[in-house]
Amino acid sequence: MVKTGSIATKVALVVSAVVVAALALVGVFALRSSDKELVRLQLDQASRRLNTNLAIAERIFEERFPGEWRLADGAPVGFGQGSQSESLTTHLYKGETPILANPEVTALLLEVARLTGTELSFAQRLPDNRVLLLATSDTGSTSARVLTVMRSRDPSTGEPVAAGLALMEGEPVFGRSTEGEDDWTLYRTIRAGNDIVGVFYAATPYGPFAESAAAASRSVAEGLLPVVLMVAAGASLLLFLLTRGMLRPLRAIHHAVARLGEGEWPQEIQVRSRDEVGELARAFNRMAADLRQIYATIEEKVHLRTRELEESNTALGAAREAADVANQAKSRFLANMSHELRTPLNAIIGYSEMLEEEAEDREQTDLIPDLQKIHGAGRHLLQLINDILDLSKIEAGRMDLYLETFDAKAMVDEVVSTIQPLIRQKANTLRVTLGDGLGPMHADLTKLRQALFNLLSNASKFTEAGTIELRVSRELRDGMEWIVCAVRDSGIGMTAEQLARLFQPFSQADASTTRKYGGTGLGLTITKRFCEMMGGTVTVESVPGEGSTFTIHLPADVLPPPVTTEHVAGVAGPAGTVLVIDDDAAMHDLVRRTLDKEGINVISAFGGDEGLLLAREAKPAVITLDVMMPGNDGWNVLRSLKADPSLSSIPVVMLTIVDDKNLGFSLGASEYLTKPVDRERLVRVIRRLRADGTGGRALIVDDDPAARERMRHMLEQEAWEVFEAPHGRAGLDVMADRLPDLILLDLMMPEMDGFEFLAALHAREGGRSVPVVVVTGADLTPAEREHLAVNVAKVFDKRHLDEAEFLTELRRHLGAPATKGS
Amino acid sequence: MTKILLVEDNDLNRDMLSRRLTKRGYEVVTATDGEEGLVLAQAEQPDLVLMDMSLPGIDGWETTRRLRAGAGTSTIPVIALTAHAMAGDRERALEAGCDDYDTKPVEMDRLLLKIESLTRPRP
Repeated sequence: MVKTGSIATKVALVVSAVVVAALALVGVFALRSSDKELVRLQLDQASRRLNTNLAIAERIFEERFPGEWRLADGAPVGFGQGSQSESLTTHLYKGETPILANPEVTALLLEVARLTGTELSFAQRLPDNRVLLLATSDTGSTSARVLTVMRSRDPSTGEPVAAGLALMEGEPVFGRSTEGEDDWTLYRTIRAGNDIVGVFYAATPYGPFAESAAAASRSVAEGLLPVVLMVAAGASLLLFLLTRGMLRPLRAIHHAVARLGEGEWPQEIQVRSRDEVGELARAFNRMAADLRQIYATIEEKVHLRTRELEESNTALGAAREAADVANQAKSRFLANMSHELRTPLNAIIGYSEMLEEEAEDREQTDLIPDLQKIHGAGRHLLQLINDILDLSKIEAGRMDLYLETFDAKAMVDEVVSTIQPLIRQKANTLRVTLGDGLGPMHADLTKLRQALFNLLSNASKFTEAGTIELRVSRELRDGMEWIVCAVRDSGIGMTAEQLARLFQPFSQADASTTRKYGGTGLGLTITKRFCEMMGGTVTVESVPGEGSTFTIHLPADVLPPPVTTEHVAGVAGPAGTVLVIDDDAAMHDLVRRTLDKEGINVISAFGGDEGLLLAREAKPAVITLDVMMPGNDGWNVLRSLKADPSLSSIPVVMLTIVDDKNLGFSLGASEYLTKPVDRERLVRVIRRLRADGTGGRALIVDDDPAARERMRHMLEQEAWEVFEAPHGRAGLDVMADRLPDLILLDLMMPEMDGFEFLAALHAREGGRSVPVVVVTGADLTPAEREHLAVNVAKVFDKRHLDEAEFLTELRRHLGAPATKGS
Repeated sequence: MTKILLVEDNDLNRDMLSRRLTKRGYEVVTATDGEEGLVLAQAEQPDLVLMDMSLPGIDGWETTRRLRAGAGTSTIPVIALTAHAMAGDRERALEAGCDDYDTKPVEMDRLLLKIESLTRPRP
């Protein structure tokens, strides 16, 4: 690789000339400060260009030397020339330590340098700001020393930079490092048209030339300028003559490199010369072809990977479907299995009980303990089946919530009376403390009962002749009402380690406890999941040997799982009858019995066609509609109802086992209730839809969906027709056609806040007559308070919402709806 | 004597429950499926029906509906018995017209309370 080509000779001569000229002129043309700025810019550009070249080099090296390029420990490595030594072996560097001296790498570096069209140098800046340099010039000749790339510094910032010498067109810029005394630096700009696209620069070690340079400077100082100038002129002439022949092909190469740098594939460079410039061009052509090949390979790989990814996605989809099917099969299996297991268990438990009674009657008391064991084992097995079924349903996401409103105290009383026998069995005492004003709660009664029962039976199980305490209270936290049930026992307690495993299925605190205390180990898991389903938590505190406290926190008003029910109800027809369209006679019976109590007249249709007929005849106020009916199904009936101008205004309540609310609402249903029917909800909905016009229309403007849902709930209980908007602007849209009778307004909202909304409302004709109740969580300034006092009916603090007072306020507006337009 | 019609297809359960109820002083008539249940309800005019819900042929829900619809049987109280202690079963049973609901295996004391409360105030 190291050979003395014609270029090298020319270069050597040129450089010598340049250096001499530089030395001669340095004293005369000091680098002006504006030049410094230019140089800095040029250095920036040069460094970018070098980075581009280095990136190309990196790609090639990664191909050729996989594994050597990156070290196992991930330390950054670079290439560099080990020293100023005559024999230019390139070292693979880690930091400052050469770790691999590789002549092959040297050869390749030189080639890469040529391929990339930069005759001189590469640099990689390491994270620690050291610069590793790639030497690319020939060595072995006198000029080599000069061309050898040096560590240098950016003259303006003092940062280390790469240095080299370019044989490019352009006026030479001479400069001297302002920082160190050790380098002389020569800059050359690289231009593409009028733009400076880079700069290459060479530095000489001060050493060999220091004296002559100093001498030159001195000579200048001593007035030997004419001599120096003559030498410089001669050198410049020589430079011009020597470089002219080389520049054209190099320019072509430079141009090609620039295009490559811009991401285009340059055309093959046509160079016929046999010298190194020719070789360089040919090498460049090879490299361009190689790169093209590499890109093509990469692209192909990307395509392949993309296809593989698509395939695996499809496979994944299929797998998920299969898993869903399997899951359904599992659920069905569990449901069936539980039935199949319960039937014989039923007999076992029943007969053992019977035999126990018989044995007592016949005074064969010696049999009783064994019979009790059979009975107990049967009960245990039954509990296990129940728990597994529950857990599998929870995990399959098939456990539904049946929310109803009930009296919290009555619920607690019932659980307490059920648990009493278990408490007495272990000679424990149950102390119950109920807080004041427990009031009603809205939750899944069965699940809460089971959760509480689990905690109490658990407490009793691990306590003997002790005290179990149940405290139930209503608490306000985070602006929400919570029912808190704390169960404290004076039992064996648990260590921190046992606590950590506590809510895991099948893991009682200790495997041996199962044998000693019985139980399925699922109760707590189920309790926890039940509470979480209702938006609550179960927490535990325990001290070994002293006892444990389990606490359930449950929202007093459990929200149904998130389903968007925002819709606009139709305008109701004349007050009166409700038409029930359902093929199931029992459903008619249920609705009739439910609505009878409300004094609402019900008429029945047992099929879709009959329903449409009756609807036209009777013009009911509200229609309830089943989906799954033979013949004309509910969706069809709904479409027909909404398509008939004489019927389209009658609100339709879907009352079905099919859970497709979106379809229902999109077809124009006003409300969607799923079977089994929550009777209270049905009554509320029917009452509201029938009472349209008297109940009034309320608009809730609040960005918090939970708050909206809560207020909607309260409003619907008061027979309001409710509209919702997540911010002021949406609120204005909702009431674009018709003003509501009441507005519940939050203040802090995105898009348009409450104050802006209020201003917009009041700007509308009749807008001032709409009562506005502000429900806000914001701290108000006195000025804001004053503003609101004049402009709204009432301000409630969301964080301490007094429900009774709030309802009174709602009723006040319900009783005396605002006179529109006044 | 209070007469109870027990509709239950499982021999063991039918035998056991009828014997236990008899022992408590009830007169028990048994049917093994819905059809027989409907016939016996009409013929025997029991004071109460204990209805297993998973029956072969017409199931307990349907049988209850027909009892409710039939003249002479529409006012007889029905307690649904089901081994599906699944959420929603209670609602389904009540929707079908049952007056109460209990899960199997029955807890005798609880069931007796329910029977009593439904049979006591016969006008």
